[in-house]
Amino acid sequence: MKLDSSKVPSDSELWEALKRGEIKAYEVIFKTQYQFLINYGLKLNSDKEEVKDCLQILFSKIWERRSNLGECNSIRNYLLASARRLILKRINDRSEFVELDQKKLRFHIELSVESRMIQDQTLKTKIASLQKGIEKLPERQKEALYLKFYGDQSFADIAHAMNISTRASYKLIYKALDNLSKQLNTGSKDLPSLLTIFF
Amino acid sequence: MEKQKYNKYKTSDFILDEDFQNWVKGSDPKNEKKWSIWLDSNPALQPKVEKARQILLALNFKEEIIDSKTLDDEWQKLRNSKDDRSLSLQTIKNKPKTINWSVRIAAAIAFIVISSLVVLKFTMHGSNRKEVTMVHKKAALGQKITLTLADGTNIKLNAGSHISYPDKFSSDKREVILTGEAFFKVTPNADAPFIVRTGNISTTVLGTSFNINAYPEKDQVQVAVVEGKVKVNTHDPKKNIDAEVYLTHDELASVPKNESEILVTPFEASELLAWKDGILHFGRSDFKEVVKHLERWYGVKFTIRKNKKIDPEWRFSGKFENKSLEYILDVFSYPERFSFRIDGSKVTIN
Repeated sequence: MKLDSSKVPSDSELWEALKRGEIKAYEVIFKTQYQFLINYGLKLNSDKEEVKDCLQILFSKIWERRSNLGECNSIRNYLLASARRLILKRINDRSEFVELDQKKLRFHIELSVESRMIQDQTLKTKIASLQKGIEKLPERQKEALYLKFYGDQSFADIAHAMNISTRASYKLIYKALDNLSKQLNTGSKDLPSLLTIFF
Repeated sequence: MEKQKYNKYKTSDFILDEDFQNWVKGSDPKNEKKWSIWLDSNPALQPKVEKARQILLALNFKEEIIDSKTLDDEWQKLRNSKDDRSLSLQTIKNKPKTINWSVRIAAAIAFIVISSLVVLKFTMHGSNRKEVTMVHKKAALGQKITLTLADGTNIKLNAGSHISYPDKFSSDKREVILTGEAFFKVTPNADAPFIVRTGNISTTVLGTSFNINAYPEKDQVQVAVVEGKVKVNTHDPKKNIDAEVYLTHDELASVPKNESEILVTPFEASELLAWKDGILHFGRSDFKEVVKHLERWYGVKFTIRKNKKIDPEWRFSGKFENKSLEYILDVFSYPERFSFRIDGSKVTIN
């Protein structure tokens, strides 16, 4: 069965086409998932060239092994879990070298103030405070939170990617949100100083 | 909306509730009224709801946008990698399908673009519902780029820096967001101040030339004025202290991050602004600064061997124009401070 070109294919249709060796299915998968994967990868390792290399390796392996691939209902989730394994493995393999800024393995996320820069001044100060709260979260809570709100992944998907139980992924996200909620209570005490320069 | 269950909700329950999310993001006009009626009759829950709203709106993460050229380049790289023979065979076999598939790819990409716009629109929820598309520009490592904005303002962006601005400025202000370093030549417009946001620090001018250095790893933000007059105003809400300083041309304001104190000094334009003329300048920099600077300038990555001792007292000075990385490292490694190996974009210090 060839892919029906009159409608947008489902994940499992795309995947089956990839397994049959349809190059265009491969291209669609690559081009639609790349942005998400590179953003996620950069949270695990801030070295962009290295993350790009990892994605090249990941995608070329998928093509090589296409005929042996199993079933897949969520391509994103499959790629997410594989990319995570590969990136972390390569960080560990390299540890004979010390990175210059001595950072331990971290999941680094930053809240964006850009898209709402014009309005809502209170929200803006809250974001600064929440950013501090996020930095204080344990790494796994950060990762789960990111996958939930950036990746829009289900609790089960997050569990699969992070290799934990679904129950544990619920717990991580609820704990993270409870912590942020506490941060908003105390956050007003350590507002950052504001500075403006006028002509 | 089932009103009963909400009475027992915690803040985190609200954040994860789909109905609540739709309401906050304004994507569910049908329920808008129900929510406000419910809130009015349950004033005790309002603080929780407000907190949940703020957290949900804030949970919008910084995103690196991959432009279509990079995406194509990466795709080509993948195709040209070792398995390229089977790939090209497949391409020929499937040729009749190509058009349909291109349409589909276009549809997929359009879908992504549209959903990003929708997300952007949601985040604008509140007083201002006008659609604003942000333009993101980035100078890659080893590169500098020059931009001209719609109002004629000229911006030179230093390596590894990022700037975003709306595709159309509003009539009463011109706001841009900078990470890294840039030189601005702002087109005068008394009705619309030009505002550069760098973290918590904003620089507002009506029309002048100035340089801002706000690389994330630096512990201070520096604003250097080349032309015009600038008023520096700090406000520390914790101590409720206000401070004001006036700057004129050839003056430099240094603002330590997380502090409200401003230091004003003269500056040497030939050093501080050398970058925009392609000159690499070091003035008694320590090794870490040198590495960070060279990484950006040449787009390389340094690795330092674990057993290599770097003396924190080392200082490096020099001015280089059109010199190779090898030349500079040769100069700096003397006398036998370190040896190095350059391998494409990887530099190893031994």
